Amino acid sequence: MKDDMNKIVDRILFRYPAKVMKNRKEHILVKEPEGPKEISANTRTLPGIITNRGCAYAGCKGVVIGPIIDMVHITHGPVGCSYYTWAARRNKGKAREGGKSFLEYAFTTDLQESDIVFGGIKKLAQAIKEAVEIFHPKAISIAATCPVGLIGDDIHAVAKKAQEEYGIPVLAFSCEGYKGVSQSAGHHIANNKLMKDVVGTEDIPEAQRKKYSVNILGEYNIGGDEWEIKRVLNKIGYTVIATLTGDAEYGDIAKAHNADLNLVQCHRSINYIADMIEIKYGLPWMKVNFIGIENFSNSLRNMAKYFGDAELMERTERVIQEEIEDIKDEINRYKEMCKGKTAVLFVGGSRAHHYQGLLKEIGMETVMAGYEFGHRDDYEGRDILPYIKLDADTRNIEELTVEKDERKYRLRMSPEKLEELKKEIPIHQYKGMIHDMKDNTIIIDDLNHFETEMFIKALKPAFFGSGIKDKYIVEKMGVYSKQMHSYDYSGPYAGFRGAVNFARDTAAGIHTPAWSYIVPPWKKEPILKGKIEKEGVEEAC
Amino acid sequence: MLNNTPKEISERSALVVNPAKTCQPIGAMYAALGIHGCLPHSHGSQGCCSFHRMHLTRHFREPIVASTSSFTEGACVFGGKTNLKKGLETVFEIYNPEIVAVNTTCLSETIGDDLSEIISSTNIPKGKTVIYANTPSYVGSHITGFSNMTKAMVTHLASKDENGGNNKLAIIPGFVEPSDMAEIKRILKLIGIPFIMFPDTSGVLNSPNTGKYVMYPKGGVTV
Repeated sequence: MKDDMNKIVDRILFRYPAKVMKNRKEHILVKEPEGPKEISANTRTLPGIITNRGCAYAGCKGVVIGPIIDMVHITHGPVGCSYYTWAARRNKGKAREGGKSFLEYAFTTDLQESDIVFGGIKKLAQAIKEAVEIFHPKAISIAATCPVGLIGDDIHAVAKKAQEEYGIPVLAFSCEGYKGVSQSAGHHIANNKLMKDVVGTEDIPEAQRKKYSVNILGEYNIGGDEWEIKRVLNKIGYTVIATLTGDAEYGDIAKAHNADLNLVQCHRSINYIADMIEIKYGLPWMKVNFIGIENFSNSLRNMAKYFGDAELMERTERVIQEEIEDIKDEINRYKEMCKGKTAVLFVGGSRAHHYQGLLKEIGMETVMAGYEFGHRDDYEGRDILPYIKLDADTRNIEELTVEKDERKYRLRMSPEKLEELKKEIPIHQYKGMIHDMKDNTIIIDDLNHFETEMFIKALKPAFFGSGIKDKYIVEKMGVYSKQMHSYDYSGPYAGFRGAVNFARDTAAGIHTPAWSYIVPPWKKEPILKGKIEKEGVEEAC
Repeated sequence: MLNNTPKEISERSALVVNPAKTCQPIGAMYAALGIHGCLPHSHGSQGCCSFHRMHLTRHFREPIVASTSSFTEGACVFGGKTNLKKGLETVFEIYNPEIVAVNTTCLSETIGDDLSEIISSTNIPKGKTVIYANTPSYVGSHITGFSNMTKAMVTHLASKDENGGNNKLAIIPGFVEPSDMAEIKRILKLIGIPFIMFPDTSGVLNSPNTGKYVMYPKGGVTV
């Protein structure tokens, strides 16, 4: 592992044709105490590269809108898009008492050739009518797919008309797959619409407002994460008004502006709305990290500091102590099993950063990490935001400007006090992933198939945290790979009890006896002494 | 499960609920994997390719690789010609497959990209082949896509033999699992009939775990 990472990166890049090499070089960075920290991100993937990225529709309907439980999400387009987002993410949800959950359903207009030629508007209007009559949902969403944008179906007009006719909110999202460069565009489109039409539509009367009410933004309840976080928050005494959007009801999101603090978990997918809520309703946001014992404890302490109540702080400490006491022994047992191993993380927009702390707690070091669709601020921190150059693809996504809502705007604390707090806790601040990584580790954006293969051979990690598409590629090489999007159907991994689940699954995965039957090539083929560290790369190159 | 489905049956003409079919390109991708050394290429948005790979990987628990033309808004307006041309060049340079099977998507079909023109104007390395099938998602289902790609194999790869053929039986197994295809082959071998089966995903989508990842497993029918 002492091999200079720069050399490894150069050797892998060297294998590319000149044009591709030039492009990819900007997306790979080796952390050094001094030296360049700039990484290129959120730019187009070159055609032909086997990327893991998806489309705007996947980011909008699949990630942000999909988890809202009591809405009927109609995909307007050919059948495929709806089919692939049907229970594909493990965003769990449970219907409330007397309420409904449509998570196990997929709704589509299944456009046919004639609809593409003559327009699909009528079919969409009819589909909404049928959905209302059969399922009686609280609200409906319409997500557009590629051909819908091309043939110019005005889904917004249909939505408006349906809303008037049936008296329930109908939200139309123009999240055609070709927009932007990855899922990230879809997140932005979804954020804009939620902000415009949902947040702030339902007020909680002052008398009914509870002390310490918060929203959790960017938590999608994968494998039940949100339930575990909520359990601890409730224990301390917080009220969670809305979670965006894991296990959320439409009504929760409408009430979100009544809270006193927004907690931002996944910065990438939800920071837009966090900013806009603050401008419009005066409710500040704070970056949190609920993954890993230390990170979770620190986030809880920061929350208590924000509210500045001595009793709350004390209660927070007590709960943290209690919870850690419960899991300490078990975590230590797994730590013994995982100690000294290395990990590579390549996940969406925040997990590649969040899980590094938890891995460290079980004795594992992250040697390479990257985001699939992160932006530069997710890597380098929000301080560089003013310096990011917007390219044409990003400019195509509407940048919503909101104004102060004079009637509902409420200052949570004086600006001076907030400034004071900012020095201590991450309010409006996200320092990015690079900040927390060790020297001589690799940061990589939009890792593709070729690089996955090469880096696994070169770095030989014990753990590769990624998605389903590269899981089996890596496992064929004899390296344990865990799906960090669906938790390999386990979970929750957030919070205190989640940390134990993660440690248990990881320890079990690494030590599965099956691995001893598959010896990776670098352990089987004898090589000359003294060349051990380089062999993997040389073979690869 | 599905608690919200009412007991009484209601007539629906537009809304499709929990479809038991999906779109053409995934079938085409599955068929293409049944050619030895073939890399499927999806000519459309990144999401299409990503969804298909995800779905097939989850089902077969095998690595499924496929490249994409990565359409952007600009490509939709000006056509996907440059995307496909550049894409194919990159694919041959980096991944070096024997053959690339291009399938279209609803996006490239709606804007009307002419695949035969684009491919014929692309520099394809010597000895390599590119075949294509038109697979608009808004016609038929994944089975149609499988059939379209299988048809493309015949149109692009089969040649007429003046001497009256090769005396082999052509077996087209249909949309079945790799193990079924292996079984069909076993029976045919027992009977002793010389045959060519295509597409043949056995050995590609049920290959052993050897500790070495091979991008193009041994299985599949050869060109």
